[in-house]
Amino acid sequence: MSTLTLTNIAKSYANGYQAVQQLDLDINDAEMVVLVGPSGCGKSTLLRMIAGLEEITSGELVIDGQVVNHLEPGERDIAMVFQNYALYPHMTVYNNMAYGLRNRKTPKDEIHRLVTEAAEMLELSELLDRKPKELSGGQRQRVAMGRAIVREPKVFLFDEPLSNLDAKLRVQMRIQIKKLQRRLATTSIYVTHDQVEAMTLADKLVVLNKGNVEQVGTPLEIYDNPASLFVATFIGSPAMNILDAIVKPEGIEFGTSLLPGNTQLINLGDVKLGLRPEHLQIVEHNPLFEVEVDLIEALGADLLLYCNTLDAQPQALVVRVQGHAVIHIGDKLGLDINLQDLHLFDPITAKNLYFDSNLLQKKEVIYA
Amino acid sequence: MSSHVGFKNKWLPIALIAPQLLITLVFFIWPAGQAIVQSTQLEDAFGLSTEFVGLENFVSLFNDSNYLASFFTTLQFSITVAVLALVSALILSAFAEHITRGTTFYRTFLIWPYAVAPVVAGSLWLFLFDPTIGVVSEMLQWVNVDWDPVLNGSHAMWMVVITSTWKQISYNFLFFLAALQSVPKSLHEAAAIDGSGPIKRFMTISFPLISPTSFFLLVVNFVYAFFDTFAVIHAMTQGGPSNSTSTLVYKVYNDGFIGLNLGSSAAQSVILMALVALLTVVQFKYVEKKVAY
Ligand SMILES: Nc1ncnc2c1ncn2[C@@H]1O[C@H](COP(=O)(O)OP(=O)(O)OP(=O)(O)O)[C@@H](O)[C@H]1O
Ligand SMILES: [Mg+2]
Repeated sequence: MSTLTLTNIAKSYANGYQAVQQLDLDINDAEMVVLVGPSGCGKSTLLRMIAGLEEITSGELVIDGQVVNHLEPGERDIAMVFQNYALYPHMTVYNNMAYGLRNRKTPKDEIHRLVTEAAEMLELSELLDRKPKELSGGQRQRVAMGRAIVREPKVFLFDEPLSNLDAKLRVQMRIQIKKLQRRLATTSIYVTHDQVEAMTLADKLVVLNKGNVEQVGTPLEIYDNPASLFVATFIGSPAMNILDAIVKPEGIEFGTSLLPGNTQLINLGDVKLGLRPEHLQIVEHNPLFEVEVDLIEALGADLLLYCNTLDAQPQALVVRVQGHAVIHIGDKLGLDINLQDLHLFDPITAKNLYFDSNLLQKKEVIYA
Repeated sequence: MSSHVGFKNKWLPIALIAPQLLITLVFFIWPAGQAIVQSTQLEDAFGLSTEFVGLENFVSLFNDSNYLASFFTTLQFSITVAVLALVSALILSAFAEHITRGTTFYRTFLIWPYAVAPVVAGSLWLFLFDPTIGVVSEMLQWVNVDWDPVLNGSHAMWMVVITSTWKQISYNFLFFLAALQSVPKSLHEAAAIDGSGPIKRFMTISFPLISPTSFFLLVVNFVYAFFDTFAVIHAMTQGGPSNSTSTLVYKVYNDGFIGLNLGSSAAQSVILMALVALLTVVQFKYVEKKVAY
């Protein structure tokens, strides 16, 4: 049973750079929390503060009801898997895993039992006598995992543990990590900038931007209802299409098209309109608006159509259609949308206009 | 296209290496050859005639209790200097690595002694150790040590040991610091999370990982203590009192240039050359096999 509570956590580096700002986060027992965000947004900084490798400038970090701000990394009962694995190069796989246990004065036969068990779980039994340089990337990654789980810590911390692996291995390891975390039911915090990893691993997803939390929620909650333009465009691949539009009393106008609706609940004026590529449907009759195909990417299962609207000021957008659709560059397509799939963002604050409260209710009122 | 850059003119490369070759020939190969020739000769007291005596110079050396005593003195001196210089440099560099403020200041001043000429270092420390006006002997008075390096052999020994060590620490410090800095930071962090404190991390992570550097320095320090400390000894004790600081190198000089026993002096040089060769072989053998993590 381990929970973490971060209250008002902030980090300024010695050079004055504010890497994390006033951050609050609650993490439940056995939960897999994924911190995701672009490079430099402060993910590693936050993780390293939790590990005790980086001093917490202000705020309070509580693990299991105990304030740990001033505890050494070794006293926090956490384990961390590093991006470069940080295996001890002069020690065998066995000793790499046993090192932490020895430091904690675990009896010898107990160490042997724990290491053997962990090695079996990770299919490392054959490799216990090897040095790290005699292992493949994937095997090293597993040793790093083994070193973490063998101590049965309260919390696992992962800092982009898969980014040094090739694509195929990354998928395998991702699944293995997920299974392992479920099986051990250990509270985990996982840092990545890969949004597929983030979506698939997270029980709770935390989207960070410039040292701030943009949104917290389950992966699907965040995908379906992004709180801001940043989240909308960061989560999802290809990214959500963002178009300039204007809210008028009779509906939302973009280009020469009008989405009729009851717009009295939102302010009139400029607005950003968000549409996911898979939510645009090609229709033969009565299209909402028309586009011309500029470029096609065939992904196998899907086709990605890079299009421009046919307005005086063309706007670019991506449409995802079924992989064998017969479409050519230069084709003109009529598109329609389901109004439920529409997102509206304030162009100044970048917030989702529906997000504040009773989201669906508002949408239903507008498009009743 | 050939993959390596070559010289069109074949004389240019020769001209470029000629100075090196010349220096090696004039200052190393030729004197070494001379020493080998001389070590097999016996010269009369007036330097008027020489005769070939084979290995007699070597035989008499190994029957000479003075020479064997000098061997022992050298070992004692070298081991103490090497150990002291290595240990103190290691401790200093371990601390220097963790300094966050004034890094350049500390590092610069720790490197300075290396730039001081041995004779100058010798005179400087001789002054500090002077029984009547020296600061060190004054401080030793406080703990009731009657400091007298002029008459007391072990005092004299400590004096040259400390001076030689002082000069060598800088060199070791530089190498240790570079080695410690090349140990990835994440290893320390991983070990810290594994519950290991700073001293334990040093002993179990840093120290084993810099062992190639440590071995290299051990050999270098031995060579230094054996051969490069001549100027210090010459400036401070001239091998005295009663040969208590007369190392092998000092004895070569003393027997050859003061005692004018050229045959014996040359034989001693040849033995020293063999020692250097041995140390070099040991070092190369090790460097070849060096464990690269
Ligand atoms: N020691 C430091 N001193 C000053 N600034 C730092 C230091 N370490 C990191 N930063 C800055 O803090 C910000 C956050 O860094 P951090 O390493 O947490 O990013 P990240 O989200 O993990 O990025 P990435 O995905 O590239 O690993 C960056 O802008 C970085 O330049
Ligand atoms: Mg990072």
